[in-house]
Order: sequence, then C-alpha cells, then structure tokens
Amino acid sequence: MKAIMYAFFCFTFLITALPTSGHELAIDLTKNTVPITANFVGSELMLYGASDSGGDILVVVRGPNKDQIVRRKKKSAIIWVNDMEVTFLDAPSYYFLASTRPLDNFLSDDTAQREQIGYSALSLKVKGILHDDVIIETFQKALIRNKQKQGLYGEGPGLVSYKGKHLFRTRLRFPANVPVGDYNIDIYVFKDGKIINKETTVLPVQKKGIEAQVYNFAHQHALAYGIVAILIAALAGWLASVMFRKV
Amino acid sequence: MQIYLPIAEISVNIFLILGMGGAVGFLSGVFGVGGGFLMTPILIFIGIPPAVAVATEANQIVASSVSGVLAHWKRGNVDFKMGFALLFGGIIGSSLGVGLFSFLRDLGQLDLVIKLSYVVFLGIIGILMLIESINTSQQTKKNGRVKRHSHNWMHGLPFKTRFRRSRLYISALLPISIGLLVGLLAAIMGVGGGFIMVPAMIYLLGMPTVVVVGTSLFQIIFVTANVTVLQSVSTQTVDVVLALLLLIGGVIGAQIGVRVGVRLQGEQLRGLLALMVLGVCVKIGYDLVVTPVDLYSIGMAGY
Repeated sequence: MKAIMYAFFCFTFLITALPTSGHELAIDLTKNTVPITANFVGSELMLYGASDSGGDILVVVRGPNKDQIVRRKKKSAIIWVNDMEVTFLDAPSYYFLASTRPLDNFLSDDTAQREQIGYSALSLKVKGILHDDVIIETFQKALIRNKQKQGLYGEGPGLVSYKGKHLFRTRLRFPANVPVGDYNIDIYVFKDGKIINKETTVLPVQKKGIEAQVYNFAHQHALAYGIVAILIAALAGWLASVMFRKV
Repeated sequence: MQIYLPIAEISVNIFLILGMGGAVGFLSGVFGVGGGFLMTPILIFIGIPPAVAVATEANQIVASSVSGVLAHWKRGNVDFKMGFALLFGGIIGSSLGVGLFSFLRDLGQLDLVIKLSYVVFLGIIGILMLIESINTSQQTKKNGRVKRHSHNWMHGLPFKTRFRRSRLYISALLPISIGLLVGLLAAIMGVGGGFIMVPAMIYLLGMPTVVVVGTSLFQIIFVTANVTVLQSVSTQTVDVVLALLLLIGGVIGAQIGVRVGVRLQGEQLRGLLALMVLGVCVKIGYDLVVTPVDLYSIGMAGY
C-alpha cells in the first residue's frame, strides 16, 4: 500500500514537474537504498521517469566493480579439477539492462562501445600473463553465463514501459545474493539512434542492523570476533548440560 | 521463515538449519559421535560456501564438546595429562591446517581438497563401521581376550612419560603426533576429529576405553576453538549466526538422541550410521567424478 501511494506520488510529482519544452528527463526510485536486513530475501523497486521528448529508454544498472576469478575444470584421472583461471579486473559484480525495445533497434555499435553498454562492450581487463584472445573470450562468456545463472547479470528488452507519451517505468530486481556497495543507475533517452538525454543516480545496497554489526565486527575486530564466537559456543554448551541434567 | 546469514551472505530457511542441527545432534546423541563429519558436507550441499561451512562447524563443535565433556569430567573420565599431550600436537596441527586452508583457497583447489578428504575418510570409517557391526551382530562365539597393547617399535621412542589415568608408560611423541594429524584434518574438514582420534587412542596408544571419549572431547574443545579464532582472523569465514542456529538444534537433538540411544539395539543402528556415512561419501565422490554442467565457474571472491 505504501509503495502504491509512493508510486502515485512519484507520478504526480513527475507530471507537475514536467517542463513544457526541450529535452528534459526526470527520474525517481521508489526506494533510495536497498537494505540487507536479517530477513532479506532479495528486493524489488520501481524506477519512474518522465521524458518530455519520448524516445527509447535504456536503463543500465551496474553493481560495484570487483575482481572476478573464472576457473575452468579439466578431467584429471577420474575427477574434475580446476586447471586454469583468468582474473577479470574490476568487472561489475551486478549488471542489468532494461529497455523499451531490443537494443539493436536503437543502439549503434559505436555508441554501445563508447558508453560501454551491453555484454560485448564490457571491456574487461585481464590480470597477469596475457592469454590469447580466444581463451579470454571463452572465459568472459563463462563469466557472463555464470553471473546470469546467479541472477546478477541480465537483460530486459521491453521491460521499460511507457504510460502515455512521456511517463515510463521499469522494475529493478536484486536477488538475495546481491553484492553490497553503491550501484550506478544510468538512464538514457535515444532518438533516431542518438543519445539525447542521460541521467545518473546512485543506489546504495547495504547491510543494515544486526547483519551490518556482525559483518563489521568480523572484519574489523577479527580476533575479538573469534574469541566471542568461542565464548558463545562454550556458554551454550555449558547451559545445555546444566539445563538437561535436571530433566 | 528465511534468515540472511551475515558472513555466508546467503538467505536460508531458519527451520531447515534448526532441523539439520537437530537431526545431526540426534545422531550424535545416539551414537556418541561428534557429527561434524556429517554436518559440514550437508551445509555444503545446501549451498553454504565450503570455507564458511568448515570454519563455522568448528565453532559449533566447541559447544557440543563442552556440553559432552562435563559429564565425563564429573565421572573422572578425562586423562588431562594425555589430553594436554594430544592438545599440544593438535594446536600445531590445526594452525598448520588453517594456513594450508588459506593457501589452497588462493590456489583455487580448496573445494577439491575438502571434498577429497571427505571421500577418503568417510569411505574408510564407513566401511570399518559396517564390518564391525556385521561382525558383532553375528556374535563371535570365540570369546578370546583382546590384548590391549603389545610391545613394538613405538615403545622405543624417546620422551617416555607416565600417563597415570590411562595406565600407560609411552613416549609423549605418540599422542603429540596423533594430535597433530587429527588437528590438521579438523582444520581442513571442519570436524572435531573424534572419529579418527578415538580409534587411534584405543588401537595405537592402547588407552582404556573408559577415558577415551572424555579425553578426546577435552582436546577437541581447544583444537576447534583454535581453528575458530584462526579462521576468524585469517579468512573471516566464521558465521556466528549460522553456528548459533546449528547449535540450538544440535543441543536439543543430542539430548533426545542420548535418551533414545540407550533403549535401542546398538549394532543395527551402528550399521545404519555406517550406511549413512557411506551415502554421504558416495554423493561427494559422485559429484567429483560426474561431468559438471558448466566446466567454468566463478571463484568466490573473498572465499
């Protein structure tokens, strides 16, 4: 109910704020953070926007960049063993594209390369010794395939829909295994194959409450965390033997 | 009801975890085994990253061993001197194990080594248990006296020490090296190591069975505590929320198991446990042998 009210508010706000002429673009999200709390099972939010000149809309969501290791298994005797790995430096941990139509209807290769839109334009740097291009391409495809399987990479042509001539919206999904960090959301307006407008917004995905406290404690005071973990366990063990002795 | 685990960074069903803790706790109550060798593989099956499963299980074993050792201590069934000798080796072994753990993880071979260790040890233990249960249920009529220990090369080793509670006069190097090996395994496999320690104490050292379990539990507390702290510091993979859920289920399950266990026929049950151990062993082994759906995988950053 709250979300619907908020969505309604967004719409009315966007309508009233809509300028009369020029290439204007306004956007808003139904949530300004994605909090990871103890009952987090993934999250969904709506992105609303208004483009006074209409056009094709493309939304690009990029999670924080991290080094991603891709490993290949090979059969050795009778078992499968990792025998080769390629590390992609600063690859997006989350990557999602939503658009009004399939990308090749309005996006030229040049623009895709320049703005780094789409899987083929992800220019990923490889760490260490340079393997030949064919191998790297295979590994990059494997990275994308595995990320898609985890629900962290995705494409949604047709997921951005217009309501009327100017107002559009799309749904953004973040699965339970979503990496934490700041997410960059770029919204492009295309007309005649050209970008006529672009907006950027940042969406933080953060652990909140007890989740954040436990995680930070474990990482910032690792030794104390370990000792506390032992004390909790020892206390629980002792309590159990005391409690059940009297039964 | 789902709960998000802060260190494992996945969302799991809270009742599934409590139930698993309860079921494994029940078995450990019935059979008097630690249960780590069943719990760690099950955690990996449900999708907990192996590194988190191993480190967190070490933490849970601290709890179950503390609760177990108290009863043995009251009856005077803990040989502390022997325990400290085992522990001395255990601390060295488990520290080496945690180091090896980090090294293998960086190499990308950690999962493989964990799984291979499970296949080997579960296979051996399962088969031995099965043979033993078949033999005893066939009731050997020859009631020959089992010789507790005989003199061999082990008695020529230096640093001979008297372990009064165990009525032994043996080289301290023996318990230290057993402790070291078991500690190494405990760190890599996320187990207490009782299932290896107990037979080693009986058959290799020749300790009287009455002090074996208490002494083994006593040293397991400190070895797994050592693993918990070292893993917390070097890999940050101990998930206290997961450990707490497991131990709540485990403690309750173990208490029920103990009460049920005394009323049940031991040998058939032991045979059942052996089959279960072999089942887990076969499942892990099969996963290693069968062609993976995707030959490529993303290495867990940070694991």
